[in-house]
Formats: sequence, structure tokens, C-alpha cells
Amino acid sequence: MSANRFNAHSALGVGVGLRAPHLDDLFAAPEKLPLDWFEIIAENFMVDGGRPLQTLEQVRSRYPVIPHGVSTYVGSAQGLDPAHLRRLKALVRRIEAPWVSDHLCWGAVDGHTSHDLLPLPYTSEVARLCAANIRQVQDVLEVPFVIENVSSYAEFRASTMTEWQFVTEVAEQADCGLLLDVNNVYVSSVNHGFDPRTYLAAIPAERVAQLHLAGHARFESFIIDTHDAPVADAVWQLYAETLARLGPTPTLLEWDAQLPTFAELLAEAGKAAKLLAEVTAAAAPGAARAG
Amino acid sequence: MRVDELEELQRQVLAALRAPLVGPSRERTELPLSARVMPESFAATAERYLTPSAALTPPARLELYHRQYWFRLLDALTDDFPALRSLLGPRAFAALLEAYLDSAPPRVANLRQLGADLPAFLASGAVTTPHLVCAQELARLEVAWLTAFEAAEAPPPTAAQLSTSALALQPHVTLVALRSHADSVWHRANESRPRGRVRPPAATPARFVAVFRLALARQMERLHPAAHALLASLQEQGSLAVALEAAAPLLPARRGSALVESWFRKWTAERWLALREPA
Repeated sequence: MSANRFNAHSALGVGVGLRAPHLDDLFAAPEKLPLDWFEIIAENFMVDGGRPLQTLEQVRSRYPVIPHGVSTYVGSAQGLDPAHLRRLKALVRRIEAPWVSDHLCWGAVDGHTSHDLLPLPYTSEVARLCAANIRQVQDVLEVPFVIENVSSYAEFRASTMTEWQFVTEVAEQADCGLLLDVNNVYVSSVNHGFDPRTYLAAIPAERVAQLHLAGHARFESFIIDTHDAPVADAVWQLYAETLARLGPTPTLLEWDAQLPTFAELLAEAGKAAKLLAEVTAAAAPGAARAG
Repeated sequence: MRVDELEELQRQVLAALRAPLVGPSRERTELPLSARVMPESFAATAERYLTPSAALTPPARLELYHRQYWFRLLDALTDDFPALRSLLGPRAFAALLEAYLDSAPPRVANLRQLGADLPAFLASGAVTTPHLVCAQELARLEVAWLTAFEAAEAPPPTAAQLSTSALALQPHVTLVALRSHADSVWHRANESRPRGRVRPPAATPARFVAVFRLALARQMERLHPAAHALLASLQEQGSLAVALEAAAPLLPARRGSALVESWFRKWTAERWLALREPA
């Protein structure tokens, strides 16, 4: 079971990313939708007032909300931005978030930010730096801080280990949870030519707090992690295998561009819910004897 | 790899990502890679730090990030400045944004604040842009529109505090003085979202507008010159007496005080005013 100390022993099922074009449909729904939770991009709500915070309260009144950051940059050689951490902590407190996630990446230097999730060289020294930064984030936020593997299109000459070894080393040194993005593993596996199953099997199951699913765009010689399409069949297969290994795990469907209708989004999330329900049923006490 | 070496890697890679878009790199991410047209320093950074894959050279791999950097920022700014784009047309608008991002690389985590300095950039004369005055004023209106979306709301003054306390405008209220018809252009661009360009009218009388938030809905409203003077003075100095003095010469000779009273009733009801925070 992936109800663990990194996700506040959550029994949440499938959620989707909260996106503005879907709000009217969300608030017009007469009953609770077949969704367990919403994930928000933390930075969009680290503001002083106005519609973002009012929307957040409306959603929170009906669903759990988990913040997902995109600019903590735990891989930054120059360390963390204290002002950013203060604003993130204010959001976490405002919405009583049970956990917070962000990416194992870097993205800013000398105060200039790329607004991207850039990969790191995979070395022991860099792992130590990331772990130290993550521990600092955890100390400030006072809730579990969970790190996500990013998709990537480039690898560094300086790397001395695989990505899955690096992710594991960072998580263990920081004693943090993992947000395992199955689509990102698949995208990187195609771009870099490794077996995604080797990656997924190496991730410490007891640290996985949450899973991500998303669509991608395939080109002739690479894949881009676009979040603008349905989840690919190959990723659904990896997700099912991952659930079989981990047990029921809170899962979030990301769809950020070329947004579908809310009904289409719910239908896609429903596919994840069906797979999750099957694993949950199999994991229930007595399920093996009954079967 | 030592931390100082990682820092140098990160500085060099970010500098490469910030290299201006050139030639076919202005096209979308999915088009064939064109690392050959990028500057030599770009390829040198890629070769120094990145490995090739079975399909892509190091510069081609870096170019995926380079395009991603630019398109993410350009798309965000395009979403936030639709009226300015309508005025300038897509080509001049894109050139303006590229120059802006080149001169002021992002320092904010919230993409909605990415264009906050665009009005100042236009005013600096760093770029030649058609309809410059109208473009500057449209940029200010569109930044004000973004501000009204997510700015804080401070405690409003009570009726008694209006005359006894130092006042300010609510953070979501922005005053804009216009020399062009930028507000008309803004309304036309936002109401119809035309595919074509919106040209400014020829006449350019001075006018004043306020952009504000009312019950979470954003609004833009024209102001009487005296109302603008009064609010601008309150914003700057906080004293009601001083603000009334500043507005007086612009008030009509008859019924001036009734006008001011009606404005204050409206501003109080719509929560435009705030208590001034101690310096």
C-alpha cells in the first residue's frame, strides 16, 4: 500500500489538475464528481488575494487540494529562494495541505528563472546538494515534501549514475517521498534509450507518495512531455504495472494544454480510477482467498 | 562534480537557453531542429556539457530546451497582452516580446507577473514600435487588468476614518492617465477578440481610467479629471484634505461638492479605498 508517511497515510484515489477553463463545469456540477482530489500549481495561488484565492476556497469546500510546485528548484547550486519558501509555506498553511510536491530539477541562476524543469547531472555530489535543499524545504514547510522525477531531453557528460539511482539516492538521503511520474519515465526512456521497467522497478516502493499520468507528443526522433493529449497506451500499461507493484496509490492526471472538455477529462481520469479500483480490490483483506 | 562546477554548468546552460531566437528556431518545438543556425557559443555549451543520444546531437538536445524556454514565456505574455497584440500585429508584437525578454529575463515565479515591466520597457525607448504612445498605455492597462485579478484587498476605512486617517487606494485599483484612445482599443480588442489588428483612432484627448476589482470581477472605468486628481493624490500622499485641494481646480464651478460626495459614495461602496499602511 502506498498510504504512507509521505502522503499523510492518504487513501485518496484519482485527481486531476485544476485548470481555469474547467471551473464553470466544476462549480455547476450538482453533485460531487467522480474525482477524489485536485492538484494545483502552487505558484498560481501564491498570491495576495482576488479570484485565485476565492476559487481555491470554493474548490477546497468540496475536494481535497494538494499543491504542486514548479519553481522550488531543489537542484539549484545556489540554494533555495527563502522568499519563495515563505510564500509556499503561506499557501500550505492556508489550504492545510497534507503534503506538497515539486520536481527534482533546477531552473534558476542568479535570480533569473527559466520557468522550466531542467535535468541535473546525476552524481553523488549533486544528490547530496539536492538532499540538503529538500531537508531545508521540509523544515520550513512542516509537512511532507515529495519530489517528482522530471522528463528530460538531454543527459549530462558529468553523470556517473542512472537517473533511477540518482532519484533513489536523493530520496533516501533527504528521507523524503517520491511523486513518481510514469509518463515522465516513459518519455525519458524513449529519449535516452533505457528500459522504463528497469527504472520503475528500482524506485523504492515505500517512498512513493503519489503517481502522475499525462499525455505526450511523439516526434520522429524524440518525445516531448506536452501534457496536451490523452495518456498513451504504453504509459497506461506502465501505470498498471506500477500499481501492481506499489498497491493503491494516489494518482493525478495532468492535462495542461489543448485542454479537453471537463467531461473528456473526467473520462480519462476514469480510466485511471478503474485500474486503481482493480488494484484496491485485489489488495483488500481476503481478496486473495475470495479470488 | 563540485557545487561550484554545477553552478557554472547551470549558469552556462541558462545563458544558452536565453540566446535569442533565430531563423527557424522561431518556429514551433516540433519542427526539425536547427541547431546549425544557433550561435557558436550555443553549440559549444551543448558539446561541453551534454552527451549525444542515438538520434540527436548535443546542440539539438539543447535546442529543445531553448525553444521550450522561449515559447513558454512568449505564450504566457501573449495570453496576458491580447489588446497590445491586436494593436501591433503578430510580427511587431513578437519582436517586442523577444526584445523585452532579452532585456529583462524573468525573475518571478508567477507567470502572470512576467509582463509587469513591459510598460516601463516600452517607455524606455529601447524598441521602435508602431503606435508607441497607445502601445505603452495599452500595456499599462493590461498590467492593471492582471493586477486586479490577484492583488490583495486591504482593510477599508470606516466613514469616520475617511477624514481622520491616512488613506490609500486598494492594491487592486490602478489609475492610468491616457494620452491616446488606448481604453477604446482595449475594449474593442477584448470584446470581439478580432483576428485582425485594431488601429487606434486618430484623435487623442487626455483621459483617465481606473482598473479595479468589484466582487471578484475586473472592471475598467473612465474617471473625471478631478476624480483622477483626487485619487492620485490620495494614493501618493494619503491626506483627504490635500487630495480635495488637488482636485478643486478641475471641478465644475457648480455642484462640484455634490460630485465629490457621489464619487466617495461609489468608491466606498465599491471598496476602492484602503487605510494607508504605516511607512
